[in-house]
Formats: sequence, structure tokens, C-alpha cells
Amino acid sequence: MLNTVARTRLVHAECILRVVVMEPACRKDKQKQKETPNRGDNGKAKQKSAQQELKQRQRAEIYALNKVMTELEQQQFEAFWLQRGPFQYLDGNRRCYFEASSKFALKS
Amino acid sequence: MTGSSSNSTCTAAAKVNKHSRSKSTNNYRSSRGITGAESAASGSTNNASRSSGGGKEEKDGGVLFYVNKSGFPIDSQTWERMWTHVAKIHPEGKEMVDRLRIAANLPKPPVLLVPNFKPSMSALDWLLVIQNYMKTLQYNHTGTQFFEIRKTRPLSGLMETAREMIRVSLPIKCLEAVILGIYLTNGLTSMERFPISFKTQFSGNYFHHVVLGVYCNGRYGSLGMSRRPDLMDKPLAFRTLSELIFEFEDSYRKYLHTVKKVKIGLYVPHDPHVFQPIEWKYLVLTSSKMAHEEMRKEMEKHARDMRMKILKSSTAQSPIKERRGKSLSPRRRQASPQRRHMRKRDKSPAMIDKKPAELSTLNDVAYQIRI
Repeated sequence: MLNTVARTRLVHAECILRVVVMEPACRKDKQKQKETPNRGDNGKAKQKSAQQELKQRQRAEIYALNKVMTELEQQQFEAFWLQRGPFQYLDGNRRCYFEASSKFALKS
Repeated sequence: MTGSSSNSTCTAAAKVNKHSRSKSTNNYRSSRGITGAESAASGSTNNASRSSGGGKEEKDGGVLFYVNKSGFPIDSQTWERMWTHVAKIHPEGKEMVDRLRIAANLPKPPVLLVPNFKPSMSALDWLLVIQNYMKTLQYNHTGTQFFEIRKTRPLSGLMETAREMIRVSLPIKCLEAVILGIYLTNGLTSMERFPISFKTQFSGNYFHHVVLGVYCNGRYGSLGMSRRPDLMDKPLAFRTLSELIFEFEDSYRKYLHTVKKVKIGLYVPHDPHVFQPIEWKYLVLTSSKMAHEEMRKEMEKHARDMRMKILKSSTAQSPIKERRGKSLSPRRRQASPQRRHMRKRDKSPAMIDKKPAELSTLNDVAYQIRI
């Protein structure tokens, strides 16, 4: 237990030392990075962003299309029943009566 | 499709699982007619996409639908095909398509959060949450299926597809809903899941549909997606499997569909990393040729066997091997001379399918009630 605590303190101390010693160098590195940006990373980031936008746009179009096609299906479904009118269908001992609309009732 | 990919690896399994072959119950008198009609229609009807043969185009009751195999974002070829397809179907055609494609301010559909199971939830609550999630994704009416589902794939692969469905969050159809339902119920080990497939006929066309049967605490129910609200989820309230299936048959009648076949699979393992494929059709019942009571008995036997966990998947076997035995479909083996004679009598599919002054002869209406 003591060893673990001591070890942890040592690690922390080392980190502090590294930060103090390396800081000036790090600053120089950062400045260098600003001056000469990594074009490969930027390119990938742009590509990723473009792909993300495309996905979002496709999703939006798909759902808009699905709304339109769902409405079409519903219209056609209702028109089908209106066209048929009421009728009786015998299936064994059961009778189904369909009203001339999209709503229907099942009577036994 | 199943046979060609699995014959080489599973010949030994076929011998071991001698008593676990799937069984088909048919009335031999008219089965050839049904078979003939089925084979004629099999290339033209497939609501549950069977795109493992490489075809990107399937038919749903005679109406084409495409399958996206390019992932997401969808590639330009598939994308353009989707729009071309809807332009042909919709009365406003290209005008509607252009209106949507150039619209600058389309509403941005929210990306749904995957439902999270909480320990305080009951099985019933969890099923409701899952079904609501699927409903929020919406049924896919676009004519292009966005996720490719190959039924013969190992379960682990299909679970990966389920994760993609959640990640991408797009409208789904019935087969995708079954896979998603399996994925989202994997954590509930007290709940068993099994596929239920229907083959129905309406106005001369055959339609295929699949839902996920569930069994928990002595009750049966289902999860699924369909164009018709009473052909998808059913509450976990049915005391027997046959009650559940007959409920679906009743629902089909409301939409003027005649159920021709019911195929019930085996319980799906809860381990999402399992390599074995789903058993989709362990029990095949030709409902139009069986008495109600006979069907009920077969289903109850199957349900009992599943509950006792004595059934083993025969998916590794070829279709021919699966169907050996008393209940073999006549096309798989030589029939007796008497049966051959009987089959010859009832050869014509038209004779079997024709019902005077009833629904299936009303072909004058172009609209098909798809499920």
C-alpha cells in the first residue's frame, strides 16, 4: 500500500518535472504546428465532414420521401376499399362484413 | 442457397441431427399445384428480402423493390435508382422527386437513441419500448430496402447489421425488424424469440411476411414491422402458439389475404456472437390444406418441443435433407403411384386458387394490398 502511494507520488512528480522542463520546447513545437499545418489530417477531416453532411442530407431526403410514399400508400388503400364497397365474405363458420371505407368491422 | 453454402461443412451434422430435421406438413392431393404456383411466384414475390443470391431486385407481391448493398452513405447508383423507382410509382412522378431533392429546408429527422433496458422494466415494458423504437424508425415505403439481410448469414453477422441499423437510423421493413428485434431482446434471457413467416395470397399474387415471435413467462406475442398495424406486434398475451398464429390469420383476412403457408423457426440463441444461422422454417404448415385442429396440434407440438429445448437447428443441412420423412414435400422425393395419380388430377394451380365470387378472383383492381 505504501509502495503504491509512494509510486503514485513519484509519477506525479515526474510529470511535473517533465512539464517544467519540456514546456519551452513544447511551445516551440506548437508554434511550428501552427505555421505548418498537417495537410493530410485536414484533408481527412474535410472528407469526413463531407461524408457526414452527405449522410445527413440522404437521411433527410429518405424520410421526406418516406412520408410522401406512406401517404400515397394510405390514399391507395382507402381508395381500394371505397371502390370495392361493402360485401360479405364467408370463411367456414365466420362472416366478415367490410364497410365501404378504410375502417371495417368483424362480426362473427 | 442454403444447400450450396453449407453442404460441405455439415454432412456430419445432418447425420447427428437425424431427429431434428424440419418438417413440412402438406396435403399431398393438391400440393403439386401449390408447389407449381409457388415456384412460379417465388421469383416474383418476396417481401422478406432474400437477396443472398446477389440480386438487388426483389418483388413484393408483384411490385419491385430494390436492396441497398452499398452501405451508408448510399452510393450514387443505388441512390439514383431509388429516385427513378419512386418517380415511376408516384402519380406526380419526377415533379415530386425534384421537389424533394432540391428542397433546401427539409426537416432534419432526429437520430433516435437506442433503447436501454433498465432492470426495473418488465418484459412487457421492454417489448413496448422496442416496438415503439421500430415504429419511430418507420416502415420503409420507399421501394428500396436500405439494409441487406441475408437470412443464411451467421447470427453474429446479422447482429452487426442490427447495430448498423441503429447507428444509421433509417426506415425498415419486416425482415430488418426481425433482426433488430432479436438484437434488442438478446439481453432478456428469460424471453425466447423465434421467427414466424407467412406466405399469403391476394388477387393472384403471393406475398411473404415475417415477424419475430416471442415467448416469455408462459405467454406468446410478437414484434415486427408491417404496412398493416395488426400484422406486426402482438401483445405478450397469447397462452399458446396456435392462438398467436390464428390471430395473425384473422388479421390477414381483414386485408383479404389468404394464408397459404406458415413457417415457424426455432428459438434464436441469446449470444450475439454465435456463428450459427437463424433457423427460419423448422415447421412448415400449409394452412390452406390443413384442418384448423390439425394445424393447432402441430403448432402446439412444436411449441412444446421448443420449450423443452429438444429441437436442434437443421439449418446446416441442405433443404433436401431437411425434408426427409413422412411429411416430405412431394417435390423432394418420389411419390407412390397412387399419390402420383392423385397429384395428376389436381395439377392445375388455377383449380386450387380459384374461389367463386370471392376475393382472389378480383384481379381488376391494380392496387395490391401489400403487407
